[in-house]
Amino acid sequence: MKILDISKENCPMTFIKTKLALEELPYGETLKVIVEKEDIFKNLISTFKENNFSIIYTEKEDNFYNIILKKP
Amino acid sequence: MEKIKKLSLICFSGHLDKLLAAYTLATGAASVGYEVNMFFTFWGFNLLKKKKDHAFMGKGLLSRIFNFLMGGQKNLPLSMLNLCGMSPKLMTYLMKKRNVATLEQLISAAFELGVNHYGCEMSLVIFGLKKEDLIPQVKDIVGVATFLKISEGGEVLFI
Repeated sequence: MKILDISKENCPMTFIKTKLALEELPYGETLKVIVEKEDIFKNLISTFKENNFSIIYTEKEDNFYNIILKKP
Repeated sequence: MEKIKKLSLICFSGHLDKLLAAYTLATGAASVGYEVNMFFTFWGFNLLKKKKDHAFMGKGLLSRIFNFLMGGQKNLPLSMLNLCGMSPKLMTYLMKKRNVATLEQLISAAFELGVNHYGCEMSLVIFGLKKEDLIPQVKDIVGVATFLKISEGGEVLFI
């Protein structure tokens, strides 16, 4: 599993880094995205759904949100 | 059939703050799957110059002086409180300190995300420049008719 930590990033770098990481991700590989702010978390979830990435699960750990997703 | 989402930006202004807004929109939209086209004209055209500092370039004395005075990507003024060019440096410093993406970072992200950069044909002629004087990422030099065709069916913003 690859890990992308964007908890220290601000808009629009959060989206840019996620997009670039997803482009590099091989098919079938899973990626864990670490986010701090709730609105960015919600935004990313809807973006992933729109682009047909399958979200395996999401969790809240301390102050961070983790999104684990798979490139179909 | 799914409709392609498209955003076209006309970058008229050569101000650092306005170009920051333009690039934030461009990279953000490109990240969520939009096709993004940026069309640089007039003062915004300065951003496309290969020489990023004050440099004499172009055809004829007037153009050379004009281009020297305007400068390039490194000399973009703020639209307010420019303070003789001091504020843009201060602003970039603050942005780095607060971990917000600077214009330079956003521009390179835009290239990576495949944002299309177009130069305005008329500006090129006015400034007395050639396509070779511009950064290699410029996809094409286009006129208004081509821009209309490129931006057709999407949203257009003038910044």
